Amino acid sequence: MVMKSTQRCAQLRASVSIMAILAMAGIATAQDLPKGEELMDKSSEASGGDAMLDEIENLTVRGKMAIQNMGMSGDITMYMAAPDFAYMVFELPGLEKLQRGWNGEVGWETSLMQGPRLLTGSELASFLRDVDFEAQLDWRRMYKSATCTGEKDVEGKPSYVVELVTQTDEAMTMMIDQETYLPSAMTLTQDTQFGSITADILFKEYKSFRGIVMPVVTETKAAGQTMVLTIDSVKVNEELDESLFAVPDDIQAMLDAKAGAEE
Amino acid sequence: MPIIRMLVILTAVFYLSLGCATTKVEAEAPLTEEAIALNIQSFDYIWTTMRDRNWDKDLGGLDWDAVRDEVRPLVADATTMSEARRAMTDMLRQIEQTHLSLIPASVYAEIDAESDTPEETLSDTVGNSEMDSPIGVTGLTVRIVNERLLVTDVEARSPADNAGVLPGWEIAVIDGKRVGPIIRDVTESLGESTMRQIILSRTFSDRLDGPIDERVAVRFRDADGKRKSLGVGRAIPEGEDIVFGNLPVGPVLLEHRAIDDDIGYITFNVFMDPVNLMSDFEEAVESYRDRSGIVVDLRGNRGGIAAMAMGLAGWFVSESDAYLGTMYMRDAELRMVVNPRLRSYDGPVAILVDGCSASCAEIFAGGLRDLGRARIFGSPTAGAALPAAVERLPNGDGFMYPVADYISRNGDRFEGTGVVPDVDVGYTRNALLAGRDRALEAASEWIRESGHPAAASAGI
Repeated sequence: MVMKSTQRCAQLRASVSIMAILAMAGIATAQDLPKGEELMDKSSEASGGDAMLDEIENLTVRGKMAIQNMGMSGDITMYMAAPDFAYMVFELPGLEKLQRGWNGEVGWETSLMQGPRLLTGSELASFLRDVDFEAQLDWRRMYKSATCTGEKDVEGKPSYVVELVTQTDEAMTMMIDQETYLPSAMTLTQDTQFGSITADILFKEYKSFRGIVMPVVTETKAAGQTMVLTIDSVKVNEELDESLFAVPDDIQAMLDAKAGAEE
Repeated sequence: MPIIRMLVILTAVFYLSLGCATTKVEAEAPLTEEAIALNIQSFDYIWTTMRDRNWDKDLGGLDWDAVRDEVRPLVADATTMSEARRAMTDMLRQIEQTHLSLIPASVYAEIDAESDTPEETLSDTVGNSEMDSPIGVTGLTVRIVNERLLVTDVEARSPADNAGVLPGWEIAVIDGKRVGPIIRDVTESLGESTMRQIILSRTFSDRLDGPIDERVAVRFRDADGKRKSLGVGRAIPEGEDIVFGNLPVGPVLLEHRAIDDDIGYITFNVFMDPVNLMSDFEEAVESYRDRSGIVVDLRGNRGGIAAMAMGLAGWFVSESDAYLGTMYMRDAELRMVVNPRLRSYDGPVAILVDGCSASCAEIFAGGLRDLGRARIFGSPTAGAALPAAVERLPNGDGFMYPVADYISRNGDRFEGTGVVPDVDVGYTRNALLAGRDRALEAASEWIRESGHPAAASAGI
């Protein structure tokens, strides 16, 4: 990354001297920056770290989502269980219920408006990364590189800018609070069935739940709208019924039809 | 991060695409200083939102800073809400896009009253009040046909039906106001706009609707051309009022029936209330699975939630890579993907449209035609096909604005042009008077000629 900054600096020097001086100042700063891996390790530790890994069998997260300027809000619940089971449900009263899950073999989604469908391709890969239970606390499972490229003020919090590359070569940017080492913001691109959507995420408030430090107020700006997610509760190692992670009937019917067509 | 990612996915789902917002008449009252300040804040919000979030960064080439300098003082000097809204609406009109409108704060009065923590709105500060009587409807559906206002449908057992009004009758005067000059004035101001039918029909519907305890005086010309003056009563419309976020929608109605035992007929007025409409539509499609074909009547359908157009289309599509078109936003391109249902219907589908079919109705009809899954009958649609969002302003009004451009799968841009039917069969007075529905007749004939296996097995 320093090489890249130097090249950029050389181009600027050829054009505007003042800009070149500023760019050189940037290089000096970049050389003093901590390593991305170190920052991610510290961030992981601040979030609960490896120490929590052996203790957690499952997580239940409940919260509320609001698109305030459009007057819409709903409940969101996520269940995750080791090694990689997941089930999420979003409910907007009277309007929509969207469910997503992974039962260790099949990724699926079903909603009132769009009906059932199986997740495939990059969308499934992205979802699998998300539901990799241990990866939530072990960043190396999720990302193959982390490079600190600068510093940025995120709503009054001096933060390091860390460029991350996932194991499947997707790039994203995380800002890490220089005081707490918790993520203060993030920019990522999410593959959806409708297309790729870039989101700017602000982690506004954190809280510890039995040693796991999680963002409880998150503001996401994507596709021209601002959504606020408020986590109400995080339960660790609740007794979860296995059937929670079973595929719903409409997805099973789809799987049966697919199997029938392949025979 | 899974929850965060799910939120990102949800942004794609909840964009609106609605043709016309509901409006009500408000009592006028002088503006207080506080109200003026809130109007200025609202103006600033609108101006900034359009600058930062409208899908067209150039706003049609307007000098947006100059527009602000010109209009902001007008809002500050307005002495009534009507004046303030007019200034803001005139500003929005300069952009020449559909789905740009203000929804008066009074429309939200009932919603706010039901809220646990009601917001103080401008209607509180300027003394606007709700109407004493609820708003009722006559049961008349009207359209402009050959520059005349005609009754195209009379709801059974409605006040208009009880008064003896019949389809095909011409409406000449409403509450003492002659219809002809209004048609001419609006037509002159709209020029060649494809929105003429929807604007005029809505204008006259609003004049026919009103307080439930008052009759509307209407002068008709009957089948023989004779004048008939009637006081038509009003009744509470069927169905439960629906609100989607900041958007008051009104009742959502779906009806279906078999035509001559061999064709299924489904009609609904708006793409809203997914909890009920999606399941009712599924039930209707299942009911007519073994018929020769299905007619989906979207005449007068003013749109709704874009995701519902995709979801409903899934009942008629079996290919896995289908989509209705693409929404082009400032920072994203979203395909309007159709997920085939497990038991999708593969018989012929005819869609009926008219000049009051708008937004999602246009996307649904045009998109299914592009996919080779529907043939369209009727008259050209409203050409108002921009996905939009609705937000509340500091003064309590609602603000609808387009967030994306829409291009169909085959590259058609319905905004400003509308969906042109494959078979142009508009309304005629003679057909209406004869109790005929030309678009439905043409669609039925096409289905019967299609040779779908179900039609053959029925011996048709």
